[in-house]
Amino acid sequence: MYARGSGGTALKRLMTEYKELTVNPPDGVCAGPISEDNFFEWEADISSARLTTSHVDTPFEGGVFSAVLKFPRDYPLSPPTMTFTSPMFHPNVYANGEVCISILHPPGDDPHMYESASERWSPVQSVEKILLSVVSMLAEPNDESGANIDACKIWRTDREQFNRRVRDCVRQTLDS
Amino acid sequence: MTSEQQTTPTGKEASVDVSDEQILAFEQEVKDAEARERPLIGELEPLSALYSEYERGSPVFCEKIKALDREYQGFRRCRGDGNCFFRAFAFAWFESALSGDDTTLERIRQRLTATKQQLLDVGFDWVALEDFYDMTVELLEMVARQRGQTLTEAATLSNELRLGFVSEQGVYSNAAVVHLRMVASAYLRAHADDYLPFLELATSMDQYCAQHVEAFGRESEEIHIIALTKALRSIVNVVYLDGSTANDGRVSVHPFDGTENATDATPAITLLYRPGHYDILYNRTAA
Repeated sequence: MYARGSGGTALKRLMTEYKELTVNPPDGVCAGPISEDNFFEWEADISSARLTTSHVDTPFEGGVFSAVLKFPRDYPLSPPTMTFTSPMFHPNVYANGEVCISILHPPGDDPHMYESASERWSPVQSVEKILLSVVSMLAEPNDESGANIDACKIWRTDREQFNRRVRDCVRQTLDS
Repeated sequence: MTSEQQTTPTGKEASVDVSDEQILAFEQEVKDAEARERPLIGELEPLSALYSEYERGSPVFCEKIKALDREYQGFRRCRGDGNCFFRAFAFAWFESALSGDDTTLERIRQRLTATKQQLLDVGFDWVALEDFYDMTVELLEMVARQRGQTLTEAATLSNELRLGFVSEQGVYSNAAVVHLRMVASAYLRAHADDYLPFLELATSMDQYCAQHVEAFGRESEEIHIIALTKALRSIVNVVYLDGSTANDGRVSVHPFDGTENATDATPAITLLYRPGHYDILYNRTAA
């Protein structure tokens, strides 16, 4: 008797967001479904244009990083996951490419207690807000809630080596 | 009252290698599994069903439940998924609209449609909110149409409403929960100066609302009830069922009256509160 089944709400919302991102794309960020048949899996590209406008010097500048976003059937009640498919060396990105930032976690789900004050997932967040958070995350790592312990350690103790490792990743994204 | 998951710093003594993250995930799994066993909104049950749960437990609870049984016809359980206050409110509010007279239905319909402007006024992005609003309105109208069609009994309409709340994995009542959370949040943001002083740990109202009000599944406190009743100009009576022996062990009732004057009142909603959880209570009607 009710018009929208489970998943229908998510689909409608994802189509609206996709349209919005196509009409008003934020600088340096580009995202959309990998295939028109499946709106629950998107590819996103984060490119240097956006990073250079950041006020912080970052070794990520110049790279074009691809990631896959996977949306749950109850999106936007639950957040998507985001996994880089480009090589990535960053304190807040697991070795398998999975991004770990606060906006991708709902408030109750609190693996990193210390980031309680930062922005969390809620149904009024969006793909655009996630991508913009990831852009600032690249420029300004949060070493208090590390996902890649190696990257955290090197970021803290040996910034030169960190920059070198990141620039290697950047080069690989440009070669491919 | 919130269910902040405070892990004790046992990591050092523990010989097994389990991270805080794994412990939290496990705790959440146990809670989720328990929650899933209950329907989002249950059927009307007599209070004796609640009594049997406490029979072998605290005598204070037992006495209080007996007293409730004399005063109330029954109760309706809501799933303890962190959204119970908002879902219970949505159900009881719509139910009062459907079982009341035409003026009541029209009033509640107006209060609901007025929320759109309330959300726009505080600058929320409508693209992100309109689906939840539309589905909340649809949830009410779907049953309101059946009310108009035939001389349907109130109990039948309540059951139709319940089906609307639980069907399709609760996608409609989840939308209503999100919408009402945004309404409460918009009210608090619009009256930040009045309420921020009462929020000890919050640095700003925006931050408080984003983390504690808007977030799906986050448990409600008094401030949520105050905000929602004010925004919708409704009355919620919260009946406290706890182990307290103050007040001669009598059940205490906390009224939250968001009406501006007596003439714009809609029927009061009664919720049964047990520490950490809300269900819906039903008065013994004269009928």
